[in-house]
Amino acid sequence: MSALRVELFFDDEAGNWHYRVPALHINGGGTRAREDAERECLSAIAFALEGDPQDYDTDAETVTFDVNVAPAA
Amino acid sequence: MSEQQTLTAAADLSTATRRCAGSFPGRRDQVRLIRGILSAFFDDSPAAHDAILLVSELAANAVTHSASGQPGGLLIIRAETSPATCARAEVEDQGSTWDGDLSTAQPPHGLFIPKRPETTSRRRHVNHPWRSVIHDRRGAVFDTANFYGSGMAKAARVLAALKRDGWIETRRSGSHRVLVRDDQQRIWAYHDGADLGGPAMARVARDYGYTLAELRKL
Repeated sequence: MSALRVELFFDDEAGNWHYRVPALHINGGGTRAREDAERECLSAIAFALEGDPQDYDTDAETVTFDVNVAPAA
Repeated sequence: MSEQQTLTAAADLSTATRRCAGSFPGRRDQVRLIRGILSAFFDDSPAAHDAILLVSELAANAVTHSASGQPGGLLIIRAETSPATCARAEVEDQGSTWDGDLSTAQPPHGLFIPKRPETTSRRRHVNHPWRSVIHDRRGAVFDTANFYGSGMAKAARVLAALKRDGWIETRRSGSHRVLVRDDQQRIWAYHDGADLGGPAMARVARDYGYTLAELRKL
């Protein structure tokens, strides 16, 4: 089990919530509610983990791992 | 590390104080290196983000506007963290023709930073080295409300600026984009209409390798 750090912060100039995921180099947000930023962050993490088929080596043997991202208990 | 770069670190176990100091060639590319070193040094300090941001702006300023940026010029950074002081950092340049009149300093120009109460500096003597010192009191982070300067931007505008500076969109799904430049990859997950104020723009700037002032100018 690995823990993924997500940084949520309120931008008091814009009056909205943003997030960073340092390990995956994700910046996003701009939502009114913190909960919305958290939800959008999960979507962005999924996008980051999908990867780009153009980067795939078609000659390689592959395995697929199921990765589930959810808030830690 | 080049011949011009030096880096020392020390720790006082009795006071749990850690210090590091380094001199760097006065070049723009060194600002990113300094940012990385301070990020590792300050680690989990609550003031880390703001301290690194402030030092980045001051270092970029020294490279651009002081003798540190001339061939052979150097820039000196000192940093300290302890339970008592939380965070402290110094940026020392090699002097300039500017007389230190801070009344003219305005965002996004980095000169406005020494006007902040967290930053101390003395009247500078022309062509003499000058230090800007950033303090953070225990338990408090920098009051950044006014530090970032004014001016929000729509995410689409910031994204366009990044693309103008060489970031290439290689993949997109909805509002999620992969941006690539050289060997670096970032995920841009903002809707075009999202508002970014100074705090958000500062984090974007840091993550894309800019100072806030540089990002605002793109």
